[in-house]
Amino acid sequence: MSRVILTVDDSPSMRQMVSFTLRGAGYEVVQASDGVQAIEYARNNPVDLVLTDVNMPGMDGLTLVRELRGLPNCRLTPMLVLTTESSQDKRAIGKQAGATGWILKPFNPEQLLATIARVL
Amino acid sequence: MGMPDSEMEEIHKIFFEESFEGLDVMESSLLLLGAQPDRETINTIFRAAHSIKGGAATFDFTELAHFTHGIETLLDQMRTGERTVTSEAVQLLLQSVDCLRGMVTAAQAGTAVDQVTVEALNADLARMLSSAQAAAPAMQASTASAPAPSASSLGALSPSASLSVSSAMSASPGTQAAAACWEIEFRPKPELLRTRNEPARLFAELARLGPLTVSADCSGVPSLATLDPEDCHLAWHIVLGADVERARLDEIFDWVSESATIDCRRIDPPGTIPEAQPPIAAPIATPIAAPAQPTEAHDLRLADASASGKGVDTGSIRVSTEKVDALVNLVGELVITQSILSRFSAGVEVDQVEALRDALAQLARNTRQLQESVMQVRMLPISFCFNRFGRLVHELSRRLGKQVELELSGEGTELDKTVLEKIGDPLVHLVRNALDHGLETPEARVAAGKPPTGVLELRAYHEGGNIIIEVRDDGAGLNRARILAKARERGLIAADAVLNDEQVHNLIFAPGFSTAQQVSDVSGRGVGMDVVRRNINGLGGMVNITSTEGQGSTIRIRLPLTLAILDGQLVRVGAEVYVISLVSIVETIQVKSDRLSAVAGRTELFRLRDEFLPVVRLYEQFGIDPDRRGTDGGLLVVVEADGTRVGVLVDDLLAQQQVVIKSLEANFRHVAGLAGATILGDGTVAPIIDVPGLIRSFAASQGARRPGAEAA
Amino acid sequence: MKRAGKQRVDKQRVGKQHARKQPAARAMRRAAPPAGPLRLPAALEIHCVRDLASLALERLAAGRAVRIDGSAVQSADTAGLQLLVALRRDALANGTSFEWHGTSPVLLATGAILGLSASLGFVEAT
Repeated sequence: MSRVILTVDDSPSMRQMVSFTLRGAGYEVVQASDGVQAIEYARNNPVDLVLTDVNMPGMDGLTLVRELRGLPNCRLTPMLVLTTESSQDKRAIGKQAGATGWILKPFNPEQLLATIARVL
Repeated sequence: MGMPDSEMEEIHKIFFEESFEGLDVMESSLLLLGAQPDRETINTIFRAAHSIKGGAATFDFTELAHFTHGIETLLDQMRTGERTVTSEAVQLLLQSVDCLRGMVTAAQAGTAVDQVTVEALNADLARMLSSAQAAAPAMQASTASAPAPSASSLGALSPSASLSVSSAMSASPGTQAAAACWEIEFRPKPELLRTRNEPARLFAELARLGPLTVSADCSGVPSLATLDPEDCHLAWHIVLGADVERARLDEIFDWVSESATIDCRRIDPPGTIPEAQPPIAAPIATPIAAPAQPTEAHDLRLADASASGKGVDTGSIRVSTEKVDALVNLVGELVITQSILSRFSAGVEVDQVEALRDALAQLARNTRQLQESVMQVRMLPISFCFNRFGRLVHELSRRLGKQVELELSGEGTELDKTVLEKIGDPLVHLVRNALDHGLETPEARVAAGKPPTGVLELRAYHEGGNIIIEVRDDGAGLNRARILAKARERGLIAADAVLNDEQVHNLIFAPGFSTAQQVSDVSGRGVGMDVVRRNINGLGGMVNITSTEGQGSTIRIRLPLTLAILDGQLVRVGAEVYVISLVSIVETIQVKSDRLSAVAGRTELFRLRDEFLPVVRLYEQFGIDPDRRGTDGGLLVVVEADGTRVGVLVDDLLAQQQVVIKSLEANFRHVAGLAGATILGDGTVAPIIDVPGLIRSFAASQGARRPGAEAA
Repeated sequence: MKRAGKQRVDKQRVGKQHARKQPAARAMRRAAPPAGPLRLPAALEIHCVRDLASLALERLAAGRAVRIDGSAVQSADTAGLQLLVALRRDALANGTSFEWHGTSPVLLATGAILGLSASLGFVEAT
């Protein structure tokens, strides 16, 4: 059974790129365009990894990670945030929110796969 | 990039679409910003720019990314309060959005970008960014001011993690260590495991760099009874026999630097390799060759290639227009079939047919509902069109030195997608005209006792199966005398013609007409009004203008809600049946020859109350044999288009019904005076009369005779 | 949002089990009589360590030799192995023996890379 990756991003092209790349590598991908959708899905469905953009209107990615960590079946789910920030501060905040790690944007499909392999 | 071109193309397509949407958001938000700087609005604009930049960088549109970066930086300064929102900055940003739109369009079309504009704007942006700006005063609705980003260099020490690097004691600065190794002290905090950063994986990564010796310190592991098994109580001492840069190690420990204490010490060769720290616990450190990855680690099976990424439901789907058109066509066929069936049941008088009639009535209901639903699918709110005008009015009023306030109402009014797409250009022309010729300068307005800011209103609403769009301005209105003079000068009306105000005003739609005293580059020569009307007619609609001199003008456009179906009046001329759209029919009257009079030449006029209507004999226009050539006993269908009325002489009025418009061009060829055809219940083909076209060609065929010419 | 696999009976689970409510741990409770060795799940990972800890404590409390069967382990992490380290140490401290009744290659390899081979009793301390 393949692993399920929940990808959250308000940009359809980014979601598409991520989805295609990961499906090609054998993962199953579920797309959500915002935090609310993501939480709705994760609440009732198994998710093996969450991949979320940080910069989103409405609920930002770090808040989403924090919220997801509060869900009983996501407490220990690996979560990666996609961010353009490379400063130390943003990373610290990412850790505080409970993220497993981050991926710096822009990234190409190879980098995405390599990073996911560090977690799954 | 490892992705097939077709998939990448598809993703690019999505990126372009979302970029255009983002640019629209930026533009409309920038226009709002002009009025009232607001933190949330700035954030919205910034996020949109940031998104576009991110996508551009990801998909290798470097020029786009670079240009957007400049915009983003400026916006970031505004967002943090570092820079005030000035109208100069807003204007520059608006221009940049235009340029960006051009760049995205170019990227989409694969054409080259206008470098001159890009360079110029880059220079302007750079200049603005480097100019000192007083920090903005507290913005409305802002909470705590944004903290200044700390200038932290990469590798700066954070309070808890200590990533200290101490060079080996005996190494001199210039020495290149030939076979150095690293001693790493890795002491995770209890929460490390919960972040799902797994030490075994980290060590496996280290092991790829060189021979690894791992010693675990189990002294911190409490008894099973008190142990929280999710906490990490283990620590490790690692020796990595590899001459790598410190940065390489930092990379591996990047994610865990906050959740563990990591000490890395580089040990350089000649005799300085220290003994491995004796581990505090008993276990012997066992040297490990780079171990095979645990078998489950990286499942690259393509087994699930067929599984599509499941989307979370957003409540809407994209459907190609082709598919929708196919549906619409099928429903049209259904309507025809249903009407054929109805005809059959009408003539039969047997008991069993009662049930058949009920069923057919039900079918008629179902068909009508289905038709309405399908038409709805193609409908979009007019806001898609109206939203363009904020920017247009903003730019034009600036350029013309006028103050204009744009009011929109009824933006939610829906209309057919194709009509929506085609009404945009005519509307733009009408708005330009209103701004250029209708609305006066602030000084002129004040002199006329009006407020200096003029109002331009765009309004839309539904009325009787049509959509009405009004363009209203409170400007100078039309000057009747000037229009009449011009019309006579151009030979558009007879010198002695008598016209009412409405007829005079609508002369501005006549071809070759212009009252602009000077040619302005803004709306061209003002001769576009006839093109506007022609375009609107082409959509099955009508346009007219009403005006009060000194107070303003209102242009009223009436458009059918759909291009596919028409409410029609069937009429008979001789053996032929024609359809006249109900919308264009004013009234129908019986002809009495005492009301008719003929003017010298060929025009016949029918006196209807206080108006003289030219009579159009359809049989003449179309060359058919009518019932009668006299007028007694005939019917006159009074139709109206473009402010002109004529009476169409027919032999008989038949039913009123909805007809499905079939294109003549697609199935035959264009015929002047006809706007298509339909198939009736009995299978006959009934041409649909193009009322405006008929009136125009009739007027042309009358030579110099014009409406309103007095009876001889 | 229904996943295709949800209706299927989970037989062999290749890969991680995650928080699908630790069925393996419950299965252990049902399947393994107290006398037999404690059978470690295929995914010996953080998701199941709390349940596993309870079982381990039961074994310790029973006072008999602690026997562990790790032959089914297909993936293991620090949390899982740390638990076993604690169990073994506590058992030995109590004077009861700790025995492996079967180990899988993955179990051994993960123990090795974490430097826990001796602490887990995979190799003899010298």
